[in-house]
Amino acid sequence: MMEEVDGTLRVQQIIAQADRELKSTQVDKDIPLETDPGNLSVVDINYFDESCMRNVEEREDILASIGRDSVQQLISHMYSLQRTTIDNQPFIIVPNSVTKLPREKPIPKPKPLTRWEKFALEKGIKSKKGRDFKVWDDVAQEFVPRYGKLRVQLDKEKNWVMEVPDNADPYEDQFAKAAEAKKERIAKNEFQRLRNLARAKKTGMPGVGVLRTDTHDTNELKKAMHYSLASTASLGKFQPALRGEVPVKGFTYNAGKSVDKPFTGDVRAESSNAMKILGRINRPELSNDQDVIKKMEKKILDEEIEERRALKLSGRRSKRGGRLVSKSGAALASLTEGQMGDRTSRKRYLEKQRQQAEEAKTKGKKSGGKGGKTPKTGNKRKDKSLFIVSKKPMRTASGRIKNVVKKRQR
Amino acid sequence: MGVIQRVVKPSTQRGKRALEARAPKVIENDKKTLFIHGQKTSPIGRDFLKSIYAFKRINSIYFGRKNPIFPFEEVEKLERLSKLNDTSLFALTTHSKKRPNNVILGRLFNHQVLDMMELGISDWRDLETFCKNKVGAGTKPCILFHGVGFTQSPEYVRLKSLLLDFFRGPQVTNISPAGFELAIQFTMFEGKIFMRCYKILLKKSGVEVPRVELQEIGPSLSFTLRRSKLASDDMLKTACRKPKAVLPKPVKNISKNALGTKLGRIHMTKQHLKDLQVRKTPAIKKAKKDQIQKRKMEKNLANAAKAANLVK
Repeated sequence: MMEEVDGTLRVQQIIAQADRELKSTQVDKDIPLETDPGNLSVVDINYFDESCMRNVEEREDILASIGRDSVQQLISHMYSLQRTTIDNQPFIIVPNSVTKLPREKPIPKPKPLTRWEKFALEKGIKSKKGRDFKVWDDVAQEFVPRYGKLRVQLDKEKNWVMEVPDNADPYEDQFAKAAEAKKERIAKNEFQRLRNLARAKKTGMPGVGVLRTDTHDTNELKKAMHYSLASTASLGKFQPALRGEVPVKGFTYNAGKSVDKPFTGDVRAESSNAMKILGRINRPELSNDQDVIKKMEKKILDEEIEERRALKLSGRRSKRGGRLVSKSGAALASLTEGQMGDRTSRKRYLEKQRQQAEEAKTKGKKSGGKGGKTPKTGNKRKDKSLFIVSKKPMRTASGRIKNVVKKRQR
Repeated sequence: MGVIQRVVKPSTQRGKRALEARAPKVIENDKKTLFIHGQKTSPIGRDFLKSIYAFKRINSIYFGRKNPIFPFEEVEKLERLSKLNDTSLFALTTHSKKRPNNVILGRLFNHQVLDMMELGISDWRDLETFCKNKVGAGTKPCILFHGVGFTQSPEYVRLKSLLLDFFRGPQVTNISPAGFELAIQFTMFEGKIFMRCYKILLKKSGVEVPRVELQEIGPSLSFTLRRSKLASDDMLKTACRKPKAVLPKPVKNISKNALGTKLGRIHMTKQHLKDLQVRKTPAIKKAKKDQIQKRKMEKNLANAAKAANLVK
């Protein structure tokens, strides 16, 4: 009987303990907390006990307790949100943030349409997207790239001979003609690209001087006149005016600028002009600065170099690319008896060899009897110059050095 | 004769990609932060920067040498650094007799300073006084703001926004239910801002939502607001503008009434009653048949009468 009572008591104790351990997840506040699940932020404007806050020791407890309540509220909110499963793991879908925060950069502007794109849009021409990159070539009997570097190479191989058309000049170089035509096409494309850019930036087209002579456009003629007038040694300064000549307008550097116009006393117009200029100055602009590009590229390059250097200094030898063997031309030249290596070292080696031979000769002549010893010293010297022992030359049957290979060391 | 602006193009593919990465986007990259030591610094300021850098390490750059930058006097240097490193947040520490243990927090828009706030650090508690239990770098912290002070003056409203922007961490679309690790708390009381950092411990509660417990991990300090430079409302408005592509599309012709029933409005072409398919019953069929027969007979009779008249 006693045991039974003890048992029930214990069970009750355990339950009570468990209840004590499992604290509530409920948060009650006078003013409800504002949560922004997108940023995981909580704003609490409830009142807290001022006298306790002033007390340094009590402050920490208060801060921790109100912080706990806020986090509890936030997590309760987050747990109530929709979930997904990624790789068998449950994830809470975070909604967009409610709080308005500034962007980092301005909203990108849509790219202006090129002349062709505009035309295609008007006519409803669809781009041939999804075209295969490779097309069947009847001559080559295989699939070849539609365009690009490889295509150019193949075309070059294919068009090794060109037909001279019937009515063409037989002495005309058809290859040169094709090359010229290609150059023209490239130039035309470049011009069109620039034109598109100019339209996109709303600036005038680049002036290319006077091109044609068969034009009857008055503007063109005026332009031609303007250029011809200024085409003297003194830049047209002393050019006398022709009879009935009207000064050409609109082509000078300051044409259309306010610099030309005198102040007429129109204060309003003047102030609006000034404001316009100010507006232009204050407008933020993000341009692909050459300065920045250069710096970025330099930074990337520097990093790459640094990386390589670091790899060289540390790590396994196998990762560094094998043994550190000198690849100097001098060594190669000495190994192959002046047959390989770079030009200067070959030359130098042969020069040295010749000098040595001469020296040996003169020595031999001087000390006739000791002739037998000289070649030995020569050999010794030669051995010294062979500072790379791990390499050996491979010879062909005729004795000519074919290649220098690394000697295997076991 | 207009002279065209030369178009500068990157000469390498890598350069091109790097430029694309830093170009303005509809959905932006996470903001990068630049941590800078000023000309003269104090150990407290430096420790503070380092401890924040530990949280924000992934999207941050630390300039730990002496930099003669004084943002409240001239911003050019700072803006140049921002442009070069593609950062849009910064934290700079300085130390002087007039403003000891100084930290300037700020944000930039389009590499131009938007807001910056100068904060004085006091009541710094060394990191060694806290337990060694740390959180992983790059976790998204919970940001808590306490006190009415943050809503009272426009300066403090902006400070709250700046602190949120500065500490909110990476933007995420999904979060693991166990991924809440760090809580950063700012409490405003009598002009002072108490900053506390806690590690979040999720305990069993008997229900699905866990019971939250906090453990302080530092840094722990108080701020006082010193100088500040706020963006004009106009500039802030342009900076806060959201691209159209991101905004949700307005839902047309679907509404909900007070009872929560979904109502839809459908637009249709005009119905022709003549072509209307009605219910087919034998009775209607028979009636129609009779009518046709009757009309036929009448027509025949009329024709016969006509013929008779003509013959006469």
